[in-house]
Amino acid sequence: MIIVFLRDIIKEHKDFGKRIFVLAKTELIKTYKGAVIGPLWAVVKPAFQIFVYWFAFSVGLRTLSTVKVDIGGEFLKFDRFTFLLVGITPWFFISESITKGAKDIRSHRQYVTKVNFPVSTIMTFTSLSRLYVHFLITFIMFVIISFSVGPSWYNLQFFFYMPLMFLFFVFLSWSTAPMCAFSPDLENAIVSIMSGIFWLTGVIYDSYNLPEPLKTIMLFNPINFFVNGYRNAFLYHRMFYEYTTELVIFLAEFFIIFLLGVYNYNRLRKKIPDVL
Amino acid sequence: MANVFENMHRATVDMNSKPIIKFDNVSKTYTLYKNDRERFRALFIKPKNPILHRALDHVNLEIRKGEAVGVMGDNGCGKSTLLKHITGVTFPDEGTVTVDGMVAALLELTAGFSTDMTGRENIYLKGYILGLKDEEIKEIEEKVVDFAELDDYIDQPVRTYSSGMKMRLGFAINVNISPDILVVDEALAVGDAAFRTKCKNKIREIIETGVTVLYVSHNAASVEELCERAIYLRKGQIIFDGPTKETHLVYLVDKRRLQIKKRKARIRQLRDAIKKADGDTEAYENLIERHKEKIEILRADLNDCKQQLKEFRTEYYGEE
Repeated sequence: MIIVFLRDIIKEHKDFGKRIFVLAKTELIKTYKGAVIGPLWAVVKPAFQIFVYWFAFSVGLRTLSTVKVDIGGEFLKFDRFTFLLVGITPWFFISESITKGAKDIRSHRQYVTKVNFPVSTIMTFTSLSRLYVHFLITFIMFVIISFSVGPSWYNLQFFFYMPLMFLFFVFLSWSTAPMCAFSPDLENAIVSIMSGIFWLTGVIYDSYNLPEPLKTIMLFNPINFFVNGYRNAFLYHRMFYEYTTELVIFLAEFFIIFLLGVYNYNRLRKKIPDVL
Repeated sequence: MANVFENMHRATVDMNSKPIIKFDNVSKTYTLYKNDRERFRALFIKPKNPILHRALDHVNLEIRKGEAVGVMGDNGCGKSTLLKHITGVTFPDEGTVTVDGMVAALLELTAGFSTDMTGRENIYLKGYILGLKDEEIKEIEEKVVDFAELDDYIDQPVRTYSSGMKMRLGFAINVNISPDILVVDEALAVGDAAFRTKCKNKIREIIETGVTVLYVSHNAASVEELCERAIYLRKGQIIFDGPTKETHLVYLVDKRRLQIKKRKARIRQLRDAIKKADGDTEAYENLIERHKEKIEILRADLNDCKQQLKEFRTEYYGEE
């Protein structure tokens, strides 16, 4: 049954093809049009956020200005700014993807109620437009990291984590976007929860450095997988399969989110135009 | 409108060809939720006694390439739902809808514009949404700009446009994408008089090229001028499907009958009220009198329509 459902989504994408990229670009234009510094806002906003956290933890709470990370018995030391910078890079993409992804169908309602449009591609091209911004931020982060930690072949693992992250949150929006189209309550719930999730994720602190059972529980937060994953690639210089437990738990979650996404999208697709 | 569509030449319709639009036993039921909480709950569990509204009821319809078909019926009879099935926006609960070709809809002309983008950018955006390729949009771009008469405004953000300008742009895009099927829902009432005439001429031109047209309007005269065939919808059912003039008369006869029926029911109600009330019944009796007078007028009207229908049928189908 899942295969039949999935076939519809794949067909929608295949027929739509190149236009997904064009619409992703249009999304970016729509977001930054009219602003004098335009696309620069994509950098200014996260830069300010990083500055605030850095100020609070390195300047305000001076004792927290360095992080000691335990990677399988080996201890590494980083200053808080570097540690925070790498972890928060995927976080920007993730938090945008979750909150905006849930709104995708509702905010593109004219594509659903006015024309015959492959609805599942909405989530793809909006995610893609967010990914463009993510590339820009990652590049800036990479330049800074090259000076402080130094470049490494391990950095190439970005091309493992990034596509996985993109897919994971597209699959998640297959569930959330149609559901939020039905009920704005859900949308508000997601936005409210996300503002707290930041502090439950190891962006500023190290999620490995927690007492049991919290340490294990943290492995079930998929956002941690990417935050730690980016640190594997840029800071810890460790391969993605070295911490097997973390990888296996994530892959299981990935599969579940995928199945749920396919199921929810197909269950609700034909009802959405009648409620929007 | 009359002079515009006069003497118009219609493309011939091949009645043996495969239908371009086909409704096969299509039913559509809307679930109405009592409140937002009900709708939220329906996400997870099936509602127990939902309020159902049957918008289409076992509709069978075949439209062939090049036909111009009018749709008649009162508000809420399912006209919009029918059109939505053709534009592919909504999906049937039962039965199948087959539409064989690109559909352009003159329904809500200003829908789907991104107001921060320029008119030109919006032409492209709309084109992508409708499924056109870059080259195809490039081809029609100048035609759209010309038709919309926006001149320098075309490179300004759409939010700076007046509502008339937006409509012109919307109309221009939809008619220039060379669709196979054009769906028109009283959209002609846009813009100033000069532009309205231009729109009508354009629609006529489109019909002449053999594009299939579905036309919905409360104005029976304009439907008659534009379409040879019309269907009459009542409560989601196709009551009649035939030549426009005949359909229109059937519609009128049916409508008068229903009106008479309604008034008779009201009179019965009033009579019951008289029986219950003792003493002062004058007000009720006055009302009954008034309803009776109205029924007489409606009856005369009904007979007139029936007569016309009979004459039309004799003329159209021959002596019988």
